[in-house]
Amino acid sequence: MKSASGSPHWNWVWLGVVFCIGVLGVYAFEMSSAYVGSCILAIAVIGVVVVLGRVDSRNSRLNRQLEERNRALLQERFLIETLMDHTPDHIYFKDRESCFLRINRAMANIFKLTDPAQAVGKTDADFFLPEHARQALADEQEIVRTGKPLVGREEKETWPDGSVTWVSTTKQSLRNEQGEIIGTFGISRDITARKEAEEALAQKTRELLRSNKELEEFAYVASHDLQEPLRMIAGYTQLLARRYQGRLDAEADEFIKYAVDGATRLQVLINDLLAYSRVGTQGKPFTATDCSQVLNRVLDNLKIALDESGAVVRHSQLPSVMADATQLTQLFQNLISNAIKFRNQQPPEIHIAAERRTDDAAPQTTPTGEVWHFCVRDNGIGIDPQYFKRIFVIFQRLHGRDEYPGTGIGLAICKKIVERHGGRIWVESVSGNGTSFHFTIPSGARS
Amino acid sequence: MNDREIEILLIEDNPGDARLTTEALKEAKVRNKLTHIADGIEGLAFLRQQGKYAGAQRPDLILLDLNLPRKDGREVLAEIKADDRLKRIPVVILTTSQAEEDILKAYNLNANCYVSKPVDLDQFIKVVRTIKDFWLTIVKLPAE
Repeated sequence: MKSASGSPHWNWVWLGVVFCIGVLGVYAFEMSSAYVGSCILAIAVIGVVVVLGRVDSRNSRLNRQLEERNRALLQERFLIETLMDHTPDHIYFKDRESCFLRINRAMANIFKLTDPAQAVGKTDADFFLPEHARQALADEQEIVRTGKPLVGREEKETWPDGSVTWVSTTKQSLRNEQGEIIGTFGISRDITARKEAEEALAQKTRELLRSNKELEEFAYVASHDLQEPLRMIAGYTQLLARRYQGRLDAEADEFIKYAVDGATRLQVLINDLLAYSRVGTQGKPFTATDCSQVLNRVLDNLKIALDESGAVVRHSQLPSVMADATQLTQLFQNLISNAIKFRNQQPPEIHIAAERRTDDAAPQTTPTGEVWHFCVRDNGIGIDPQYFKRIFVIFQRLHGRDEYPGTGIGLAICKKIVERHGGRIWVESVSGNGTSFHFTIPSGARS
Repeated sequence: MNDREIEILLIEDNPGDARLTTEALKEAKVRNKLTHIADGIEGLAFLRQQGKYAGAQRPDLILLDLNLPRKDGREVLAEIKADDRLKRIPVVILTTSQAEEDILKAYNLNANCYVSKPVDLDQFIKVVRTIKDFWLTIVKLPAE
């Protein structure tokens, strides 16, 4: 609190008054009586003491204020020093010419300086390779010129010893009290570990793409180069059979039969393998696909098998989904022809249903977890639960070749198709009592 | 009944396949005179009666493999179909490739027929017989 009479100005007024009283006292002493003079002088002395007392109390108040301000400043300084000394981020201040005004401890450490003060007056060129220093200088000059900050830029730092680090850096203009730009300051965070992880991931992706490409090439080799010699074996053993049947002995005929059999089976396997690898390599982009149309096409394709087995196919209302229509057709066709193939004594009854729901066990590729859940249910021979996983593995069969023909590719292809669409497939069954195949297709992209 | 000997040009690089085709024609009882040429450039020279093929008979049917050395079957097919004197000769693509893009490309180049070589000889004989019946008996081609 500051009262008008407490100001230094008023102290001088009081001092003037006391002086006048003093002069009056001396005058009274000489001109009048010593008693009156002494009294007036005594009053003057008291006045001096009072004024001096006022001055003193004012000084100590000022001192207290100064101390408080100093303490606050020290506290500020302490906080800033703590930040500067202990943050792992690199902090610097530079002048308009991009010479360091100040850097923090972490930055001094990467500069291999024992004291941050050693950086003062130096530039990036003293620490980094010229290429990096030039780029940093250009960026800072741009900030000095325009005042526009550079936020969160990822920079590669190459050091004289050849090592490379990555930082995410933010640089801004440094302004004085008048708002004039007097330099720049910035904070950089070391993101080398993250960048290395990203690079490792990109490397893995490249390797994956390469191995996928190799698989694609393998598919071509399987389709052409392997079939060519295979056809030679089959063709010429059959020619032997046609020309020399009965002209050699019975054993020779049997050997030829097995040779032809083997070659024929091998070709089926190769074709199946090719079909399997093509799910991934020859897939088409997903388009809005009406599942009822797909089902109609499948029933058309399977007409003979359906008629021969007396199968009855029913279905609930089927949705439109984002899918590769050809592969969706193949998926339904494989599941329905399985239902016909693995039928019981009675004619197959096949029911296809779909409902929209949230799939908690959905793979990560499903953003919302919202899926169309399809179910293809039959009244066939069923599957023992111990085989629930095995049936989806390529070339795994549960029955003898004479009982049920096939290579064991169908469900493996189904699994690959469903997974390519970001869904999953599983089976529920009681041995001898029908099978339900379930699969999901993400409904994220509603059409 | 057309009992004339049919002139067939087989352009096929694999001798085993060529022989099998010859034998299949024999088994299918197709009266034919088959000329086998193993690469695309020679095949075109034969068709154009160039060089040593100056006296060559123009074939009634061409059986063409897709995977050929020097000039592959797709290029040979394109040249045949671009040549006014050759474009009416029926060309049957006979190959192991079941790749959809190969089939499509062959039809785009006006192949008359595309046949995947079956692994089974009986089937192959059936295929050869069908080709012969269809292209040389059923289909009425314009006279030269």
